[in-house]
Formats: sequence, C-alpha cells, structure tokens
Amino acid sequence: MMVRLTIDDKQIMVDAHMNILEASKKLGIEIPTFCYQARLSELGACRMCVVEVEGMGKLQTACTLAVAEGMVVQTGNARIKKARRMMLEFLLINHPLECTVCDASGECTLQDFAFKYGSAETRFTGEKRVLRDQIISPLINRNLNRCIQCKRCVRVCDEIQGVTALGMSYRGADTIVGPFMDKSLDCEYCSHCIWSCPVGAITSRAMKYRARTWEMDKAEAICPFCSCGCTLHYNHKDNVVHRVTHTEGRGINQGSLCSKGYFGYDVINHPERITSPMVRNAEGVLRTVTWEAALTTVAGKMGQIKDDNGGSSIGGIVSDRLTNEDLYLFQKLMRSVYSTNNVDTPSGMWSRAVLPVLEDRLGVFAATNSTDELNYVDALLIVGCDVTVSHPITGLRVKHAIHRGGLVTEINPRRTALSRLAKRSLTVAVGKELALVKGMIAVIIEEGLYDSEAVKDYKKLSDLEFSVKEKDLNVIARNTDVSVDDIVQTAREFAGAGKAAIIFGETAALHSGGDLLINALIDLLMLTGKLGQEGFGLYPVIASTNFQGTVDMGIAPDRLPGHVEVSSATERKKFEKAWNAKVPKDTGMNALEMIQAAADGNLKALYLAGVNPLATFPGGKVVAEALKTVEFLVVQELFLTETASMADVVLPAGTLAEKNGTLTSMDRRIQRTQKAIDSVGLSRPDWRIFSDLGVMGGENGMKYVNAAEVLDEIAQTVPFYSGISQHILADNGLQWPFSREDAREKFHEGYLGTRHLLMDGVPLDKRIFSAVSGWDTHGADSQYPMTLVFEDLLFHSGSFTRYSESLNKLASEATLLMNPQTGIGLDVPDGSTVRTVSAQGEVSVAVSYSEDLALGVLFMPRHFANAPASALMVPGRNRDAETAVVRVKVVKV
Amino acid sequence: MMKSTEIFSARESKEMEDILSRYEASASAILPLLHYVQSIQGHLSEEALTFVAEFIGVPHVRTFEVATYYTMLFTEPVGRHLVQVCRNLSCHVNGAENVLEALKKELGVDVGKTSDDGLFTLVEVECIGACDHAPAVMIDEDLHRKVSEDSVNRILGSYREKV
Repeated sequence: MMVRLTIDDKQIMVDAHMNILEASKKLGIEIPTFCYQARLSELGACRMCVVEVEGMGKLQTACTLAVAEGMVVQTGNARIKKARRMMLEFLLINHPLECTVCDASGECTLQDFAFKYGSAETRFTGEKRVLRDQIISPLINRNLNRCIQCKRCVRVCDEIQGVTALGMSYRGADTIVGPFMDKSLDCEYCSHCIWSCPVGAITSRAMKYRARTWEMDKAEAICPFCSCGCTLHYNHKDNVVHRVTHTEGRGINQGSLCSKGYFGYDVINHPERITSPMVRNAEGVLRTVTWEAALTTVAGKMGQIKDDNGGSSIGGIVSDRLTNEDLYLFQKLMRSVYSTNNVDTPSGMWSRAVLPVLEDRLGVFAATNSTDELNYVDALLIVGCDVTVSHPITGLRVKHAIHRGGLVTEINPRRTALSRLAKRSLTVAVGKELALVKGMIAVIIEEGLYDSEAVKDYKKLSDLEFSVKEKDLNVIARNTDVSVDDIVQTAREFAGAGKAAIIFGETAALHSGGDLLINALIDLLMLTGKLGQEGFGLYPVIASTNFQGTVDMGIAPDRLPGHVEVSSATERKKFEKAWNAKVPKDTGMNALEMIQAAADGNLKALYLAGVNPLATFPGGKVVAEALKTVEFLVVQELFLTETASMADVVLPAGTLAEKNGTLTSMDRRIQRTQKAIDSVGLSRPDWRIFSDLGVMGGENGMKYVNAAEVLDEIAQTVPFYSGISQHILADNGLQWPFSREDAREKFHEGYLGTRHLLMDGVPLDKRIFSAVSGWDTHGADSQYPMTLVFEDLLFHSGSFTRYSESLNKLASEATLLMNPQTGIGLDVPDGSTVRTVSAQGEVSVAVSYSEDLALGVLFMPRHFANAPASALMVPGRNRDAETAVVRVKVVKV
Repeated sequence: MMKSTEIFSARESKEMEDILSRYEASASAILPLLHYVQSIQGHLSEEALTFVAEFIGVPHVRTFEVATYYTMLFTEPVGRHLVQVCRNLSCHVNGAENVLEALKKELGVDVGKTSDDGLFTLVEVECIGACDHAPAVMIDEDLHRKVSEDSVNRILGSYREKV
C-alpha cells in the first residue's frame, strides 16, 4: 500500500512499510543517524534522527516511525537542530578527541556530524570516561572510549552473520560492547563489526597506523578467494594495498565480506613475492634474468620439444583463480602455438565428476539458479559441504533464509556453523547420504507429495518408485543413524515448500559414488517439481574462484571455449578460423594424467600457471617424481612455492589487484575486476605473459594490447559471452546466457541476464528419472576403515592464503578432527600425534577431538605444510582418485 | 553441551525444567533461571552462564548481558550475606552516606567488596522502595528501616550470630 505524506513541505508517495528516514532519503533530504542501517533491525538508540511530526508533541525518531497517510514532517527546524546539537554534546562528553591517530578519521560519522550539526563548545567539564584499549582478537581492535553505543556491531553480528559474538554488557554509562565474559573474540572474523562501526571503536589491527583514509585511492575488484564473486574495493597508496572496503548494497555480496576477503589482501604486497623472472643456469641454480631472456628460453625450448616430440608431449595446468582473459589465452597458447590439448586446471577433477551428470540429466553445466535467490527459499537441503566455510557469503544467504523461517536441513558428516541455526542437522557418514535421499523420495511417493503436474510426462517414475521400495524406512533410519521422523519431516517440508533448492559440495560429489548421489538429488528435484523457477534449483558449490570461467573458457583436455567438444570438427574449424591456426583434434590428458605421463617420461614439457601440485595434487611421490623427471618445467607464480623452486624457468605473475579482467561467479555472473596497483616488481599479468609467448612462438594472433582486447575476442568466439565488453559489465555484471541487445541497452537499468536456467522446464528428452540403485555410495575398506574428509577452513582456502600473515594469525596448521568415541576406540587421546595412512602415503598429525563429527569420519584442512594432503590423496582416473574423501587408517604413535 | 545433571542435583534439574516450561518463548526464562542458579551457587560463574545459555538455546553472550545488567545478579563470588545500602534521594538526605561509612568501617571493606571472613558483601543499590523508612538497608531478603551509624553494629551482629 502506498501513502502520501509531506516532508519539509514536499509531498511524496511511498510504500507504507517505509520509515521516515528512508522516505526523506527519496526526497534527497539527509537525516543524520548513527544507529540506523538499512539491513539491521530498527533501534532508535542514538536519537540523532529526531524529526518533528505534526500532531505529535515530542520529537520522534525517524528510523523507527513508519510513514502514514497525511503525515506532515519537519526534519531540520530550530527545535530539531537544538536536539541534535545536544545529543552530540552528550556523545562528546566521553568520546576522546584523538582523531589525529584514529583509523576512522576522515570517514567517521561522529566527526562528520559534529562538524555539520554540532557545536564548537561544550558545557561539560568533568573527566572523560577512560577504559583501557582492549585488544579483543589478533585482527580486531576495540577502543571502548570511542564507542557511542549505537549497537550496530552487536546487531550485525547477530542478525546478518548469525554468530552473536558481541553483546552489550553492564549498564547505563558503564555499558560496553564486548564478547562473552569480556574474553577475546571467538568468531568468524567476518569484519561486519568493523564495517558497521560509525566511529573508530572497532577497527582492523592489520590496517592500524598504515595510512589515513583520505590518502588512499580505491579500485573496484572481485574477491580472489572463492566463487561467490563478491565485489570489494582495494584501498591503496604508494602502490601498496592497505585495506579492503566494501559498500552497502553493492555487488553480489551487497556489502558483506568474509574473513578471507577482508583480511587476506596482505598476500598482494607480501615481501616474498617473486619480483623478477628466473632461469636455472648450467650449475642448476635459479638466477634472476630479464623478461626477454626468460621468455626466449621458454619459447625456444617449447618450440624445440614440439618439433622433436610433437605437441602431445607438452602439457599445461592453469589455476582456477585467474581471470577469463588469462584462461582463454592460456588454452589458446597451448592449443594454437604448442599444438596440444593437454590443458587442465586443478578443479578439472570437480568438472569431470559433476558436469557430466548435470549435462546428462538437465542439459546445463552450471548452478541452475542465482545465489541471492537462496535468501528467500522456504526449504533447503545442504548435502556434503559446509557452505558457510567454502562460500561464506552464500552461507549468509542461507542464514538469511533461516532468519526468515526457511527450513534448512543439513546432511553432512560434520556439524557446521549452520547446525545451530538450521531446522535440523543430520550428521551422516560419507556414503550414507544416498540412503537418506532415497528415504525422502520414498516418503514423497508414498504420501503422494510429488508434483503430479510436473512428473506427468516423465519416464521411469515406476522405476524410481521401485528403486526406493526395497528398504523399509526403519532400516534406512538405523543404517544412517537418523530418526524416521527426521526423514519424513525433511521430505514433507521439501515437497511442500513454495521455494526449495539443494546445495551440494565436494564431500557429496567427489567420493567414490558421488555421481549416484547427485543423480538421486536431481530425481528429488524433478519429482517435487523444484526446477526452472526462482528459488528452486541445484547449486553445486566448489570454492575455486573462477571455476565457472575455466569451464566456459575451455580449460579442459576435451573442451574448447564455450564448453564445446574438441572432438567436433565443426567447432574446431570455427576456432581455427578465428585464431588462424590449427587446433589439435585429439583429446588431451587431464592434470593427473599429465603428472603421471611426466613421471613416466612421456610428457617432456609442463607449464604450470599458478598451480602448486606438490602441495595440492594427489600422490605426493608421483608428483615430485614428475616434476623432477620432466625435461622442461615452467612455473608462473606469485611466490617461490615448493613447485616453483623445482622449475627450469620461473615467471613472476600478478595478483588480481594488479590486472584488469573478468571473472565468472558460481552463478554464471560475469563480472569486471579492475587493477588497483601497478605490477609488483617486474611481475606481469598472466594474460600478458601468455600473449608474449604466443607472439614469440610465431602466432601474431596472440598479440593483445590489453585485457579488454582479449575480452573482445572472447565475445566473438564464445557464444554465450557474445557481445560482452568491460563497458557493459561496469554496473552489475551479467549472468549468461543474456540477450545481446538488452545487455547493451539496459545494463545500467539493472539488467542482469538470465537469473535462472531451465526457464522452459527440463528439456523434454531429459524428463527421465534415473532411479539410482544401491544404498551406500562409499563402502568400507577393511584395510583403510576410516573416512578422511578434506575441507577448507573458514580462514584458509588454499595454498594461496598461506601467504596471508593476517589469516595465519587465525589458523596456521592442520589438526586431525575426530569424534571422541572414534578416538577412544583407536586409543588415541585428544592432542596426541598419530600416523594417518592412506593407500598413497602418510602424514603425522595431532588429533583434536570434536563432538561435531560422525563416527569413523575424520576431518583435516588441505593446505598446511605440517600435514600436506598431497601425501594422502590417491591419484587415479577421475572416480578412482581420492581427493576430497580419502580412505585411511589411523595408527597410534 | 553440559547436561544439567552433571552440575545440578536431580531436584534442581527438575526445577529448571519446570521454570523453562512456564514460558512459551524459552528465551523468556533467562532471568528466572539466572536467579535460580544464583540461589544455588551464590553467584553466576562462567560455567553457570554458559550452561543457562545452552539450556535455553540462546548465544552465550545473552546471559552475560543480562547478568551484568542487573545489580541483583553477580558474576563474581559474593559473601554469605549481601548488604545493600540504598543511595537514592530520600535515604541520601536522611544520612545514608553516614550509614555506608559506618558499614565500611565495621566490615573493613570498600563498596563492592567482601569482608575477610567471607560473611558480608557490601553494595550500593538504587531505590528499594522504602523511602518512608529512610535511610534503608537490605540484607539478603530482610529490610532494615531507619538505620543509623549506631545501629549498624547490632544489625550485623544478628547475622554473625546466625552462623
């Protein structure tokens, strides 16, 4: 309903739910406030926003008063000005005037309001309240003297982050903001409290005394740490990034960031960055050389190996953190110059496990829906992942849905940060999720809860019915250690929800029978008709920042850009014409095959761009063997990693802060990321190195002046990127597929492209249930009876974050998590060191007990040097490889 | 989470369940539960605050907020008897300050502290609704009216005898 009211003699029609503060904003009238923030609950604590409303005697707080028909409001008369001046006078009784050293100075609301609405004099002469400047965490400072008790930090921590680590304790003038028992912060370090503080009471320790706010320039970029695709601003001065900021309402994240996005920027100007190219000399030592010398060496040696052994003896593995432009040029270099389809990325493992199922069943190769739709789901299943850790901002969407009353069920071998908030958390051992999903399907069929309209033209409904009937619900409940009631309720909630979706992650997809589980999840979505609309759909989530970009740009041994098959002569011809070069026709080797081939002496040259296989690939020994054996190893990196130090040529590359380009988020949103600082040292953006090598290899088609030119070529060769340019991505980015015309004409009116796929429903030829047989997708191995699940930590997402000093303060080594009962069974006490042994190798690591884990399941982060996952992960061809879920035994030392 | 039976007797656990069941929204039970736990343990320790928070399913910091807000709840150990001196207007003009000084001297402690024998903790409180008998002092649940410097000794003595 709309109402008409008068504010400062101007009439306006607004929605009846709006408060006076927001309504005034629409008229361009600024009402000062400390405690109000659009995303938070209304409080009316600071009294700065007082206005006069005709017929109401006392001044009213504009933030808590809803508009009403015929209301007449004054926002700035003498009475109001006096009231505001007095409020400021009260606040300044205790607020220390230390703006000279305060990090908030220059963007402090109190400073601004005192300037604009305050008085130069005070009538108070007493002593100021002085509380000790307490450091409440390794990364967050609290200065209580500066606090004006607006409660924004407390509310944001509770209402947005769902952590509630901060509270208002004590009373009256003694009230302070702080954690439980005034201890140090034990939280997610999401930075919301720092961001929400209108003064300098809560600040970042990483930023302290580094730069004044007004001295720094800002560049808008996309966060490099996961595939949520958050917008952030690098604040830089003198070519150093000093902090990251984010803007309310901007980007996919809408003004939120996580610990990695906010604190992880110190990798950019890390002192150990490689700053010049290096070539291994005759004595076998890496020596600094000029770019020309380094590139000549690479071009010459690659050319020679190609001539001697053919293109198939050359391989390249590229990081999924790079931009679309980088990725596109990498595969173009490998294919058109080095004549090889041996092109892959570490997340290729995920692509091959998940995408074929999605393509086969739904005809899509991405998440079907947009992540922000999760805000409003009524029911959600989260299977085999901790989305609050792998994708913290997507996790916030889930928390928002829960806040709204959405019924979230988590099916995971470990309880997560969501468990406390979710409707139910089902701790289920790896492999048993399938039984649970089939149990749900059985209930839905039995109770007739399926969408009869949607399944009308589906084939094999009877097969599905048959496949779930062979086991009684009681048996399923006993086998999965979940109650019958939970299975029934989850099924009813999901089927009955207006909007329902499924998220699944690595633990679900990358264990041995993961494909069966994904198929069962798709059956569940089809049966309940939860596909093809807003708030429905399937979200496969993998952390790799530009995972979708690797898929779209043809970073695969069997796919060209646009996800078309290398084996198709027509598609090859298209690219041959565009590139004016030959494209090899044979499917290449994937990353694990390349490593094996290198170890066997069959692969002669390996080009690794931003990839550190020694730390992150399965089969520690074979990887080391491969890197030693391969005739020519080129490593393009930020740091001299374990892998880079074995290279013949090391090429220094740049971080995302040092280049322009585009990234594609997990929900298909192509977004622009902008350069903040000049390349550190002599490093160069990855795309430029590929371009230079292409030209030196004799391909003039590899010559580009800037990243925008590369994007122009992508816009011509990749059909669903057709018509894209940095210009039309400037506002919000675009979700493919999009209309070329709409993108061009309406990009600043909020046109976003396709919000969700399958708008016309599941393709007709794919309306078939898979009716998965079997009940356990993992199975026991008597030799390696335990299941080790590798999962990122909230504060670390890969070998890249290991270089962040800030994040290392929060976590810097791996421990092996296990249920105390598992530990007692194995006779390994909490804190003791054990040998964890897989078919591949072993690591020694300290045990840490956690009640959150299912029995027989172990958890460990991947990337820490004290327990390298590489030593345990088992190489193999796709499904045989154990990378996310590994069978192990634990041996007491 | 700790189970109630690990810290409290079966009867006490039952009582807490009863308190909780009286409220439709479990968070509403926070104050009565804190009162109850304090009546058993004398004050609200970190363990007690953690327990109550988990018992009713609210974040830990919530019980800490409530416990530090109310003067009648204690997050530090207190003496066996709580001596509460009213410092509001009526008592003030009728000599509460002198009474407080006499109590300090007699107990040998400052406001907020506990006497060496562990018997008394001395605190100042806001109006206790006994203005007609100012200056007033409350010891535990007992109201002492028109207290004077001279009567302080006798009043404290009656509690010492109870020991």
